[in-house]
Amino acid sequence: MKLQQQWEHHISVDCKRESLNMLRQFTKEVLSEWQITDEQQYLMMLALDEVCANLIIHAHSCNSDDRLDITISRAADGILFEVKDTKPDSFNLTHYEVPSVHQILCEKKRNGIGLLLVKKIMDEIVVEQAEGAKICRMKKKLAC
Amino acid sequence: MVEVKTKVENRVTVVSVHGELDASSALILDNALEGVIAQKPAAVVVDCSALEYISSPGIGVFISRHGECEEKQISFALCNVSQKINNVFKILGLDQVVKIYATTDEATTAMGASY
Repeated sequence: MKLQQQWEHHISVDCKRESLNMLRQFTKEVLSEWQITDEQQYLMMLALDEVCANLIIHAHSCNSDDRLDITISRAADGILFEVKDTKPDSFNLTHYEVPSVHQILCEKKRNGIGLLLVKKIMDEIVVEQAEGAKICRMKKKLAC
Repeated sequence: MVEVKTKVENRVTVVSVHGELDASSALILDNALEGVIAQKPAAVVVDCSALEYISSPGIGVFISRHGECEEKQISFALCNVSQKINNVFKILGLDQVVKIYATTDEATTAMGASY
């Protein structure tokens, strides 16, 4: 898939685990086009993967009839990620109390690692209800 | 997808991970490590040289299996971790908890000598 140079890209994926690989490829291509460094690309790709994996597995129970709409756009000071979930009562990650790094490492917890990473990687996370859907907006600021 | 290979080297079991560890593949590594640990080796080293990507399910496997090894007094370490993946470990502080070696030789020598 060769993307044309533009400031906004969109993809829609089925709610199944196998979609995550395709989403990562898409994210990598978009961020490469915008000349984001490999290390920044990796972190943003990871955060988006974690949010979508959470929705696919926990909110949609891997029901491939359901879909997530993802938009990645370039702003003057960073990258914006939007995940639109048409299941309005689905999981809101901003309401989830993520464990601390200490809890994860000392109590050997597996749950919550992904959302902790999202909160550590992204600079802004907002979840809102609009047009019958739940929309998660995240921003990663880039140094000018 | 991910592929896991194991071999015993200098009395240390080396588990090599090839590919991507995400929500759809982490269980493969988890099962492989479960089998390795059940054999009660002196030490387990996970070679990450061909690990291209890891997300939280894969990290969770490392954390929980490291904990299990501690309880069973089996040494556990990672080696050949790429800079990108190491950055993720640093965000979580995992690099302060799990031993990480630059090369497989360095890991097997250190781990072989540590028990």
